[in-house]
Amino acid sequence: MRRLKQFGLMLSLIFLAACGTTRAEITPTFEQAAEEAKQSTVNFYMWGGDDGINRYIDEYVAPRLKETYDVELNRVPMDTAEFVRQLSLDKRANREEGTIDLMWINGDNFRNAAEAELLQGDLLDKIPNAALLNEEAQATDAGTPTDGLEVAWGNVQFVMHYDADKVKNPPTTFDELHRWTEENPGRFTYPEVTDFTGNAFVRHLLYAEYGAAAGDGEIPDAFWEKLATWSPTLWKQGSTYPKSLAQLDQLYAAGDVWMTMGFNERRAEAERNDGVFPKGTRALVLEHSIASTHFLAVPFNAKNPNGALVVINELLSPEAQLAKQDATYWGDGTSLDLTKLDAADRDAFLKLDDGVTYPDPERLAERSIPDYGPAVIDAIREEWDRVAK
Amino acid sequence: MSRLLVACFVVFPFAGLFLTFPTSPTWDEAILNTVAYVVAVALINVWLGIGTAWWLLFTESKWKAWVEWLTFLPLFIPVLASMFGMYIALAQVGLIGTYTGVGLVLLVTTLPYSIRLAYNAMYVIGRPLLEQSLTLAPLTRIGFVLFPLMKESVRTIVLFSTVIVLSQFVLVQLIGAGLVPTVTTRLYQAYGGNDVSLALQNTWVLVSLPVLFYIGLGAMFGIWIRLVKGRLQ
Amino acid sequence: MSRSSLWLSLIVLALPFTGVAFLLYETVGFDWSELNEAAWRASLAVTLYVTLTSTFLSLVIGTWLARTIYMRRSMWLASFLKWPMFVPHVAAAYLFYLLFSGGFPVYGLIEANERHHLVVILTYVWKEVPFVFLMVVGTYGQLNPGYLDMAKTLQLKPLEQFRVAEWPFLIKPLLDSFWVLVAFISFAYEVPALLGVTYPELLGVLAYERLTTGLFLNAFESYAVALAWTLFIFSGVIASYALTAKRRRRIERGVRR
Repeated sequence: MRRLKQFGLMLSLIFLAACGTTRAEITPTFEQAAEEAKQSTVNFYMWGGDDGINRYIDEYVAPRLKETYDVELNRVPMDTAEFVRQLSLDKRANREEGTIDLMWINGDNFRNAAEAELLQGDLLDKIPNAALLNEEAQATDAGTPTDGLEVAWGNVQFVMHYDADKVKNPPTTFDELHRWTEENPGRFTYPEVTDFTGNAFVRHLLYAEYGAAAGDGEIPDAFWEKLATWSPTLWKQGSTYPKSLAQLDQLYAAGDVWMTMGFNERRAEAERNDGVFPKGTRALVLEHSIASTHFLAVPFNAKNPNGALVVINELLSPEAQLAKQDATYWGDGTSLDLTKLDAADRDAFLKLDDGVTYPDPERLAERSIPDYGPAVIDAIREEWDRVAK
Repeated sequence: MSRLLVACFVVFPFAGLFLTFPTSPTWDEAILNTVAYVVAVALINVWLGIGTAWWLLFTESKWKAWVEWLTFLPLFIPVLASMFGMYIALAQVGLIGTYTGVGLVLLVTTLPYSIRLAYNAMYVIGRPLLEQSLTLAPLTRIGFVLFPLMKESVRTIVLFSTVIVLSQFVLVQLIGAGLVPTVTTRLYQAYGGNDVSLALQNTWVLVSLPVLFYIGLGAMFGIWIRLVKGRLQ
Repeated sequence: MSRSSLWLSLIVLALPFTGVAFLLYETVGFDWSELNEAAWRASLAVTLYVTLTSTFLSLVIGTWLARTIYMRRSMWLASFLKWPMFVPHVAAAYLFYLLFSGGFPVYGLIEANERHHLVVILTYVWKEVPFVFLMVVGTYGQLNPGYLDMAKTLQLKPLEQFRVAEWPFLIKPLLDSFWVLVAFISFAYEVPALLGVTYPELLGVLAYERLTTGLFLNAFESYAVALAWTLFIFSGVIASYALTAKRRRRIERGVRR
């Protein structure tokens, strides 16, 4: 009995010890934040599925941060949905001091995080470089207003890539794509709609049929029936789909399918140069392409929010954005408003649009459409099962 | 003939490993973490497994049935089911994202097997034989009687806990908050990517660790037993 | 000394129960009829199919192998059988994926990622047969050959001989193995995620997916499924042990006690 009491006492002491932490405070000005953040580590959680992006952060951004601000950047590769799930568990557990300082987020995950109040707000006025942002890109995220809860990091458009050596007459519209799959069975597929890119592909098809009218989330059955007619000629007769974009890329690189897709018009350049993607890879822009912005955010229980602000500021600087758009690393479009930059920087950006696998920028720009809202994304996720069956 | 077929079936998936030649692995944080966890968790499993099984076999207590079920049921709680609750419990104690926290949950997944294996082994050896050894001092008891008798099951406990530790991906990602890289978390991200050879490299590590430990322990025990026999003569 | 081990073990093992407690807490007020949708029903069906097939095959093959090795004393096969145990499930899944993703042996005969989940079952059988073998071989090691001889002298048919001389001793290890395998296979993530199909997905895969994508509201579905399944397995374990308790005690202690 005495043992039991001792044990209970010890356990409650442990619990008590952990409950005393409070949230870290953001300093009122940026200069103070930079001071506070010296010699500290910032845990940057982001999707780690693309080698080019990882190298950009590890080889370009991290050394610059160490040099300029004496901040250690720790890139933690983790799927966005996973760490958003972790934050929601943190909130439930009342964990005031967490492990995530900065995260790369957009779309659905942002909506979940914002609704569950997992993010810190009022970021924009604390970051000097935020003044250079493109207002339109910053304002909404896939239909959800950002409200200063996240900061725009890059701007991309959806583009498909195909192997020109194998595909002699690439389709120019989605209907033609459908006919192409019928003529070339088993050579095309798209990721499951739980994957961001797969969902986006289905949204494109939806737009092709119904345009902006489908924005309320009511998807007619006729659409699903039409999509189901694609199944017999897809890869593996549509009985299974790649779980993620990375797996679709794997299939494309191996030559099993002849097309891939993704939210970055420049993403294939580095892969093609490395020999991972076939040499004949070229861009394919069909009749429209969704433009999407991705963001950076700071969670409610960040241990080092000041460091996070410093990192965001650095990531928004024209030099860093230029390096990001360069095909050596990532090729991600900038979220800055080019008219707000000085002439030299602006020219540097305009010179970058030159790669074998890049689509024609004018054509891409004129076909860009804004994204649907979260209602459509959810609806697609819920109802796509009948196509997958 | 049928036995030959079975042997072939057992061996042939290993062919996949030879699609790439294993170059020496870079001794980075992930591999160090993995090896450290495997060793630590295996040792703790042997200690706690045998200790608890001993208690279950010998101690008369009215709580014995409860303890038996308590050590038995976690075998049937799927990791996916309990991991979110464990996250919250460990968050209260501030162990998320720490090495201790990850070590603790790895113990959770391996301990029930170890207790079971140790219990079965000691049961087969039989109470009378083990009771005899109670007359010896603890250290002598362990070194001269217990370990030689149980060396096979100690090896099996180490094997089980090693393999289970090496299999954990989702759990380590969640409780470690991405801050504790292991070979398995790297492997999982590798086969989402394009690099088949990287994935196979990691697979080599995952397979060779248990093999090395098993053979190493066998050799160690062989030496130990020879030493002990020498001393007894 | 063993007392401290006991306390430490109990603390460690209390953790998964807090996990289950969390699930209970979260699913209070959950509308269980929400689970009556096609995705969950299909998932349950395919999970039962894969789990029961893999478990049954592993148990039968594992026991048959233990028996054969005992009867014919082929130790060489026993050492081969250990090999799959060294391979973690994740690595095994990847190896089988490499082998079968292109279709094998004749082009397209057996393929990964297809509806019948053949490769998933194959992977599990490959991994679990050594486990069952390990559990059962100890029993055969202790078997009193007198029983076998007696069965033969009674001129029983081979199946009857098995049922009389060996089966009673096998009940405990087979029951143990059955529930361990069912619990593991039915709610795993890594193996079926890699080797399975988009629809229907196994329970573990679907639950994890619903939990990490889409609106957070879906999380309660996954928690509810995890809770229900865990309780189902618990009750299965307890029930089967209760039902066989008398028989097992008789075997362990002998009839005259």
